[in-house]
Amino acid sequence: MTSTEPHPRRVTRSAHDEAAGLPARVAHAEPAHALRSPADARRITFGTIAWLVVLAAVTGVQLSRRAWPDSITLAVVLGLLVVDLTGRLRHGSITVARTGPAIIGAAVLVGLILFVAPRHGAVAGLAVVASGAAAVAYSWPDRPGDALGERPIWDQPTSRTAFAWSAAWIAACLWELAMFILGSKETDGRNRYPAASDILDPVLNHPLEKALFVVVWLAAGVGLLARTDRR
Amino acid sequence: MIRSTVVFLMCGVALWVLLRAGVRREAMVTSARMFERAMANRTVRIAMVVLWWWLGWHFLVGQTVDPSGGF
Repeated sequence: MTSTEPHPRRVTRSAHDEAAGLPARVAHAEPAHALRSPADARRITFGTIAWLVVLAAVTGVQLSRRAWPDSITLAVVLGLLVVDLTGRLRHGSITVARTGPAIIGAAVLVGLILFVAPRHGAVAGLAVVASGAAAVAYSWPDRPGDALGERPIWDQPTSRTAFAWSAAWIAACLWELAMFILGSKETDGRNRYPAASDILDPVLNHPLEKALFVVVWLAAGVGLLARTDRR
Repeated sequence: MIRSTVVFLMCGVALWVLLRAGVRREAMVTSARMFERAMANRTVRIAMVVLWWWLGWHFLVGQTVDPSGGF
């Protein structure tokens, strides 16, 4: 469960090796966070804690805004993930094959609905909720390939890439938080200290800009789901 | 308005430049590969997917701005 445990060389045998009658292979010593068993899929690592903190921070900000649906949803997911780390939740494993066209088709359908439906309306709400529920249901189970070690190893170059992404997002989020707090203190604060939401909200009232946002948002979602399965 | 826009754009451009240089020098991997690897962990995977979903909800459906302040 912790990242400080020793990492003995493990004997692995992939489905391909078994089918080909090849002998089991001895894996190289791996970094602390290289996953190689189903139980590892829920081990506590620096990344796990970091993402729980991010989720908690976003939940906290939404609570402070009194955005109840946002904060309740995020808090429920946060709670589920914490309980899942204790191993009390059943999660299963699914084999997924050729779901790409179905996911892209669903994304196109949702995109069309969101393009036609007005922002903040019930139809847009249903489409976004359905997208989120489907994406979480799809992402929740482990994939058998994870246990067979088919994912790339988490090495130094991967850590650097993750660090670069984290640094950019942390910088943007700190600025966003500063603007949110400063903008909340003054009467005309929202204009003097605009957060990303204040900048994008009027822009998204235009159909073309809203369509662009929807395309980018859905493409990011499809990309994330594709990374769930790709080896 | 312009100041915040510039800061957000700078974060994106800095990330792009850093990743491009890092991948060229083989000091970094592509973002696709990093995400592919990170998403082997369910906590990370679900957190990413939920935050992606929340961005769509926040801007398209939910309470996007707080005209009266925030806190």
